[in-house]
This record gives sequence, structure tokens and C-alpha cells, in this order.
Amino acid sequence: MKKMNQKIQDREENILQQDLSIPDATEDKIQAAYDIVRARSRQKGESKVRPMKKRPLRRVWAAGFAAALIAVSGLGVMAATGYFSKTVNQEGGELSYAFEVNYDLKPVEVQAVPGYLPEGMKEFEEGSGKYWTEEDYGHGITIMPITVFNVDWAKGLLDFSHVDQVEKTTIHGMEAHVITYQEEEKYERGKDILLFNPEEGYVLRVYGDFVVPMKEVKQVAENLEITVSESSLEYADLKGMDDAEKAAREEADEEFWRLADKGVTIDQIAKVGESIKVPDGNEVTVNKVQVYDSLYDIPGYTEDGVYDLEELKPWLNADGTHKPYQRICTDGATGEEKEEKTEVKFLMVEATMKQNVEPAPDGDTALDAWLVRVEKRADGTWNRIKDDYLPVPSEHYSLQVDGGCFFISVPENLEGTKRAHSFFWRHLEQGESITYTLIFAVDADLVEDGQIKDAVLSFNATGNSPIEPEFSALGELE
Amino acid sequence: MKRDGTELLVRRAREGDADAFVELMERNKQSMYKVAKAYLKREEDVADAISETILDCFEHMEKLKEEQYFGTWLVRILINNCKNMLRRNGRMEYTDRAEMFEQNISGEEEKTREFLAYLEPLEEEDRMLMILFYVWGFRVREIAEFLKVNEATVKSRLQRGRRKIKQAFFPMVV
Repeated sequence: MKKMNQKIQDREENILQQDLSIPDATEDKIQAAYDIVRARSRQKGESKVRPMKKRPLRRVWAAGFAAALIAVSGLGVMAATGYFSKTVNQEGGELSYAFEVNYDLKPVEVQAVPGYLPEGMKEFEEGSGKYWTEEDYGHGITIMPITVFNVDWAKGLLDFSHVDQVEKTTIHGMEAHVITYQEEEKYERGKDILLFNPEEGYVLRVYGDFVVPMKEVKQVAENLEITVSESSLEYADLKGMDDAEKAAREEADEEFWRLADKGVTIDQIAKVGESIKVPDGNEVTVNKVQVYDSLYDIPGYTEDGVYDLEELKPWLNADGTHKPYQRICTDGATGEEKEEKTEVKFLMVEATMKQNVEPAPDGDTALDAWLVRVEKRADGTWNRIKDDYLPVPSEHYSLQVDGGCFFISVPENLEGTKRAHSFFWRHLEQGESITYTLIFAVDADLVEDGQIKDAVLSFNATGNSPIEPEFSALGELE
Repeated sequence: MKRDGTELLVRRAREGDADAFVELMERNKQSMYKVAKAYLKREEDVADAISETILDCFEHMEKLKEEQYFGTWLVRILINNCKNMLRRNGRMEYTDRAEMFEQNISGEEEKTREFLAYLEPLEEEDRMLMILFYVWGFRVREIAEFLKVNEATVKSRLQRGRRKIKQAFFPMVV
């Protein structure tokens, strides 16, 4: 009977977990939503999706217009006839575009493919609009058509930060803006070229990663092959929620965050040596916490327990101490950013997980934890700080991503996908206990007199409830 | 949250990186599809609920204050959209689940048929609970928060759901 029950459970999981075939019509709507999202985006990245299916062509443009560069002296308001008019606002490093759409005209769809690409670049997936070389995966050129259909959604949202210069030029007979960014190299910011065609009803954005020279990005823009076709979409497809729904959703959101922001009292934070009851019924206890200067001084440390050795090695000195890195601190209240170099220490946490219940359906229990900076508020409760700390992008420092640990003394999933996703997870039988060590890299400002201050641990196994966070202290919190 | 780069993607998406956002949605597409499919009868409603959820999430990414709660947050929005879809269309037809099952199952691909047939014996809330537990991997406590019920209720409903499925698929075993 036990075997039969196991078979049933396996079948249940298989049926629920197997991939379903998503019909083309549904997939098309999902892709259309992505197109809208891209149009509203002001940042860059890599995508792995296909654009909407195209209908029969209405017109095909050949490329090859030379660009005439004209310095932009003041962008201001620019009216245009046709599908849309745009307003351009530039203040300091902020640049934004707002569009007024003529709804009397039927929206079009646009396809733009490069007639020229830098040597070695090719499209990484057909129809993706992303082009890069095999040697530099993910770093290349992106071509994003934005039709009047999603320009409408992009109204007020097509904006850019940290802009250095905007040059006005003409490409393909279209008004074009060539955008460069401040301190491009340090922050690994790319460059953008926007082409505006209000007469035909679209905007093209050509984005070049920071590794691609502007000269190449311009050449790509100048040699685009643009296809305009009739759209299968209607403005009516863009209908939004009604006011009551919006209000209800906002109210629900506010309530959720009110509960999440209420924080916890000191009594609700488990002290060192006290166990936290994991929702499933398991228990986790922090037994011991110690800060070290050198990784090599931590008892039990071996390279076998490191999640990604290639990530760790460049940041270690020969004696096992951590090299300093440059970070950006963002003030949660004002949004002000400041940069500083910070020293880094190693935090060793010894914990015990007790598997009180039958193993979860996926068979593994999470053993890792996340370091969370907390603050004491005026009402005496504790909660996550609003400030944010991130490494400067060009540092390529990822050892502290999201406060995660980089080492566990008892790894079980060592190969392939299981390593990538479940390195810190382990199968435990009911009644089994395991004591193990986690190691974190921590910024030196979290350490005072050899103790961690204003930070707690949040164990993965607790489920990380936003409303009732379960924190384990790493020392005194008063 | 398992170590698969989700939090990094969420952070990038919250900063406005559309491609990171799309990658996040693609990772969750199958799971979103299953939730919507369990709620909604018509495929076009399923498509609408998912696409609305994608747009809502992107529009409100800045409201997601903690990256690790992305999954929780996404599912909340999706479930709201599915419910709104039913309300908007005036089609609260779960009482006639036999009809729903018949209409859903005709013309579906085999795995989808199997999926729907598997959920068919369950009440709406149990269906959702099984999907949140087995497909999304949420814990009992998280599901309790979603569905506004206590943890004991979630556990008993999980048991009830599994018992009903066993009765339907393996009547000799129960």
C-alpha cells in the first residue's frame, strides 16, 4: 500500500508539474504583452522571446540613408502630424518622452532587421531582435520597434536616467536621437538611438551594450531594413481596469505592504541558541556565529563547499582575507546615492536543521539563509532597512547578491542544474538532524567589536513570509 | 527561494529592465498558465488574464519592495486578475463544473487534458491550493496567506484534495 501511495503521489506531481502546451493564440497575447513591456522600459537587457506574428506587408523600406548629425540645443516640445506627437523633456541627466496618439488612425506593426551587423554578431534567437557574438554572450545590440500601439502605453514612461548627451540627427529620413550616458564605462551603461516616424506610426530603438562602440551602433541604425505591416490589434485591446478595480487593487496592495511594514518586536526574533519552527514543522537553530578576517581561518572551510569558486577567487587575497570593493549606497528615504570603498569580512554561522516531518514533496530541505540588514524603528519594532547597498557594476562583484551565503559545509547537490538551483538544499529523512556551517561575505560596516550589528538571518526554509518574517539574531540587537 | 538568479532578475526588472522582466515572466509562464487554466474556462480569458498580469506586474514593479517575494506577489496579481475576469464577464460558473470540464477538455492537447481531468474532481479552492503547492512550490504558510485561511485549513484541504483525486483515479486504494 505504501508503494502504491508513493506511485499515486508521483503521478500527481507528474501531472501537475509537466509542461502544458500553450496554444498559439495565447502565446501571441503573451508576446504582445512583452512588446508593450519593452516599449515601456527605460533600461536594457537581454530577452529570449519572439515578437508578435506579422500580418501581410503593407510597405517595405530599403535602408541606406546617410545620417546628418545636428547637435541638439534644446529639445523642448516637438509637434508632429500623423499617428502621434511627442514631447521631450530633458533636465539634468533625466530624459523622457511623452506621446499623444491620434486614435483615428489604425495602428501598424513594424519589423526592423539589421542590414549591417558588427563582425561576428548574429541574432541569438530568430525574431528576438538581440544580436551578439558567441564570445561575448549577451553583450551586443538590441533592436526594439515600438508601434503607436504600445507608444500609447509608453506615454510618460519612455524615459532615461544618467543621460550625458542627446544628439539630434536624421536617419532613414527620420528624426533620430542619439543618446549617450554618463560614466558609461564605470557603470557599464550602453548607448541608445531612437528613430521617430510619426507619419507611419512607430519609434525604433537601437540599443548598444557598453562593449559596442557608438560608431557600430550608428551603422546598424543607418542600415536597418524596416517593414511596416497592418496590425491585427485594436486600440480597444488596450482597455484597462475600471476605476473600482484599480482602487480595489491598490487598496489590497497597500494593505499587503502595511502588514509587511509592521515589522517584528525583539521578542519575535530568535536569539542564538533558540530554534525557529519552520512552517512545515521542522526546526532550525543558529548555534554559533563568528566573524573572521580570513576565510582560511574558518574551521571546516574547504573549496568543495563553495557554490561558485570562480566568483570567490578573484576577491581573495593570498592570506584568505577579502579584497575591498566599491559599492553604491542608496538612501531609502531620499534616493540619494553615494559611493564608497568597503572592506569585507567573513561571517561563519553554525546552524542545525531538524527534520520533524516527512520530507516535502520535492524531497529536499533548504538549509541556507539570507543576511538581512534591519533597523530599529521609533515604535521599537525591527524591520528591513530601506537603504540599499549594491556593488558598482564594473566591479563585477556578486559574492553578496541578496545577502546570500556562498558556502555550505554539507553540500549534496553537486552537479549540473541541481547544483545551480539546489546547492544549499539537502534531503533529510524524518527525525534526522544536521548541523552545518554557512559562510557569508559581509560589509565591514556590519561588524562592530567583532560582532554583527543590525543584521539578522532569514532562513530559506521558513518560507520568508513578508507579513510575518522569521528572523534569527546574530548577536545582541538592542 | 532557490538559487536560480530570480532575485537578481527581479532587481533588474524593478529598475526598469524589460528583458529581465520578460525572462522572469518566461520562467513563470507555465505556472501562470496552469493557475489561469484552473480558474478560467475560455482559452481567450486565460490569455487575457496572463497578459494583464504581465502588464500589471511591470507597471507595479516598484511596489515590490522585497525581491524574494516576487513569486508570492506575482501569484496574488494573477489570481486577482482571474477572479476579476470571471466577475467582469459575469461568468461565475464554477457551480457548473461538469460543463466547464467538458468545454475545457475538448480540443485540448493531451497533457492539458490530463491536467484538467486531474483537477476536475476538486472544488475551486482545492484546485488552486494543489497548484500553489505542487506547481509553484509555495509552503503551507504562504498558501494560507494567499487564500486568507489558517494553516491547518490549508493542510486539511491538501489532504482532502489528494483524497478526492485518489478516489477519482485510484478508487481501490483509498
